[in-house]
Amino acid sequence: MNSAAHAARVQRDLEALHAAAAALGRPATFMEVCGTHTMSAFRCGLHSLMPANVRLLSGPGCPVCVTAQGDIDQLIQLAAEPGLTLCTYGDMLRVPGRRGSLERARSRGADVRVVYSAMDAVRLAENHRGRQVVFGAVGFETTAPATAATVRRARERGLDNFSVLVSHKRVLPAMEALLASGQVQLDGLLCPGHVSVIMGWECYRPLAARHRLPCVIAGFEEPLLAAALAWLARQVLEGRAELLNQYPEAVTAEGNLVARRVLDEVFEPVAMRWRGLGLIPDSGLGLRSPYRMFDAARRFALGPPLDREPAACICGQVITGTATPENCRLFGDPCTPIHPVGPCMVSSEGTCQAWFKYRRPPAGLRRAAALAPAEEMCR
Amino acid sequence: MNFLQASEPIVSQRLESAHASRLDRVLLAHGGGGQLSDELLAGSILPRLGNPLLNQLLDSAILPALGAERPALTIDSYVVQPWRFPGGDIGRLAVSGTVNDLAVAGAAPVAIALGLILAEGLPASTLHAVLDSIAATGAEANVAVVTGDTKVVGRDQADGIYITTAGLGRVPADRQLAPQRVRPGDQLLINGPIGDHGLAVMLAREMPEVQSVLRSDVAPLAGLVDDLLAAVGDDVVFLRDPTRGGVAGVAADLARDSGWHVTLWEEAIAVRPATRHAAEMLGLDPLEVANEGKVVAVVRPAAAGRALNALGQHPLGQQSAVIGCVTDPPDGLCELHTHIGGRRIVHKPYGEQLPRIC
Amino acid sequence: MCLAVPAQLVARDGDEGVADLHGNRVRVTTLLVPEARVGDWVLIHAGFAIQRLDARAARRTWAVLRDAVEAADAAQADGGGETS
Repeated sequence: MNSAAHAARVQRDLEALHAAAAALGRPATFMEVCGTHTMSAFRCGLHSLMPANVRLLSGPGCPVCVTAQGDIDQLIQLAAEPGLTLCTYGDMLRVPGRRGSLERARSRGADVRVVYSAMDAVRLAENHRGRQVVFGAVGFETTAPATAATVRRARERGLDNFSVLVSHKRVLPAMEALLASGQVQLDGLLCPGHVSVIMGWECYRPLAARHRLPCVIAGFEEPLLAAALAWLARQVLEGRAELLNQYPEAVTAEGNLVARRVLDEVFEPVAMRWRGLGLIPDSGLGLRSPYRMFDAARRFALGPPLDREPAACICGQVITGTATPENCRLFGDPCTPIHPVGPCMVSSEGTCQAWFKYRRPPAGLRRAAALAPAEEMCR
Repeated sequence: MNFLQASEPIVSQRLESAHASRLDRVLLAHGGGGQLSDELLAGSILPRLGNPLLNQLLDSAILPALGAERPALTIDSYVVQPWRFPGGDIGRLAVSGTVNDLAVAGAAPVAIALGLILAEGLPASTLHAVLDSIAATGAEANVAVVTGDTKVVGRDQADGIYITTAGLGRVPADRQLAPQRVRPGDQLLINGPIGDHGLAVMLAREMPEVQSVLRSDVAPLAGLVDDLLAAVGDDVVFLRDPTRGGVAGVAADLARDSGWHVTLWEEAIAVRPATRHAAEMLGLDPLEVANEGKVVAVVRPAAAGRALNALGQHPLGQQSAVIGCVTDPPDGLCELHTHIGGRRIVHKPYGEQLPRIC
Repeated sequence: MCLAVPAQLVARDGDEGVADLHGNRVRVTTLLVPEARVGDWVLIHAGFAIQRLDARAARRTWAVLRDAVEAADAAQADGGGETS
């Protein structure tokens, strides 16, 4: 589709959104539960185009942000073990634990490697049988099948020097917990697109029905976000609570059955602690007994993670949409992307980082609280 | 005109018997200033970089006077990893980077001083390839290395090879390029698509198993800038090369330093498809990625057309475009008009970019 | 919700393959998409292909959206029907 057609479509969708919002009259709040949606929305300036009475909140959709600090401390503790190589996705490298980050541990001599694929960690283990290789498995259902396949391969190859510190989480139980808590009143949901690739769109039906919420599985191209919001606004206006799959090229009703089978073979649901939401039953993944020898927490006798969130950090509230970054007294000073206090600021999908980068004027220009209305530009 | 061509060649006594290079790998002793150092010079460095001034091997190179023009001086160190990447290598990067720092000051390059720090064990083939690049890029920019220094450090230091280049240039007496000259109405131009260098290097370093069509845009821009200044003269008020920090860094700095409001138009900023997709894969924003063959020019509105023309005529100016403008209010903010018509603030990026995965 | 990008599978050998993203060739593990063949478009995430993309559906996505808005208009008149 060419650029002019794109632009025309976006215009139409924005107009539809504004028309529905105006007809609605009252405030409406939608939530997106996907870190990539958070970033896309901010990067394309969607928030600057919203009707005044429609709010788009970011939910617990950033796997790094919802990882409890205790889990991060365990990764750092392992990294410091002599003879051990800690493999991690790049996003986790700078997340602050109680005493520094994996990056800081690396600068002090810990063998921390950033990997793009979990398979890279297993290959490392294969090529260095004399070292213990631990993979920090973080992510939602989009990423967990890769870990499952990797653990399965480690078992097939008898790699007893490989293990995984599992911190995978399941999105639906958390969404359910958030809605059930009543902490935040929502009128509609943008469902996570890539989790849905694996899990399918049917899995949202019970939640949508129980809470009478319109839900749209939105694609990632930025114009599609505008279309998704327009549809949600129409649904609210008409008192409907339907489920729309706006990402049909990748999302089917049952998702990727092969991936779900691998997941199910290796992992089982367990209770897990979410930053900001506490312990949620069945919201995490744990290794099933045939695979438990690959559990790093077991192998290295790590005690239960100690939970102590940094004082004054309200990442937990930001993640659940009950506070905005600007409500946090640490936001911008001292908490910045270079010196983050909490994960929402260091994660490239974190709400605080998105606000900091795209909505907050640079230091020293605080008087300009927002962009002035667009004047006729000089072209 | 390269003044080096005018002088007589004078060869130092120390190099009466220049041998062909027997170099296999660099040794610590090659940096010691003794006979092995001479061998390195004679066998590897001078055959590739030699010119009448450098060949004198004096402690300082004496250059011709600059007349009424003002001298410009710049220095940069290059520590890129890996040393060679699609589209270039550390040698080309060093010369281009220094030439471009001079060019954006409105300075024509006069001479380069070259500092090499080599790790013990560096293969001769690497050293020779880098030196060849330095020579070739210098020739492109019509500037030569007139003096240099080589040190060798321990095997695991310096990641193989580090380069420092200082560049001397000359600026016409009346040329003034500064953020203070920028005012509302001025247009921002760039000479082509963005993000290629940073992403090519990042892919080469982080994901060497990826074969890519991405190539660094590293190139010396002295000729391009010369053409621009010749066509538009004083109507160019400011120049910057968007290296580390990318176009976002340059635009945000421009807003802050000029005190005005800078607007960028996303639709107007070209990004090659391979670059855009590599950026998506690594979770990076092309606006924030380093370029080594690009210049952002701020020009008076009446001259924008001629400026664009001049850039477009040059081989390094394909896909030149107007990408933004300067306006009221004087808030020091830079904003982006996104391709869906939204608006958001553009900051100078913070430090090292991490490939994003999940 | 994690970063995933569409790419074309240009080589496949058992559980491993190579995907092309506009000229960038990446090694990917293909065991989660056993039905994907060379030439298919797949979604790549963290070094794995996680789904085969339906090209026809991709082209229809815009049509789906237009239809969704128009269907909502029509449904308002007859008052019912789930969208999916």
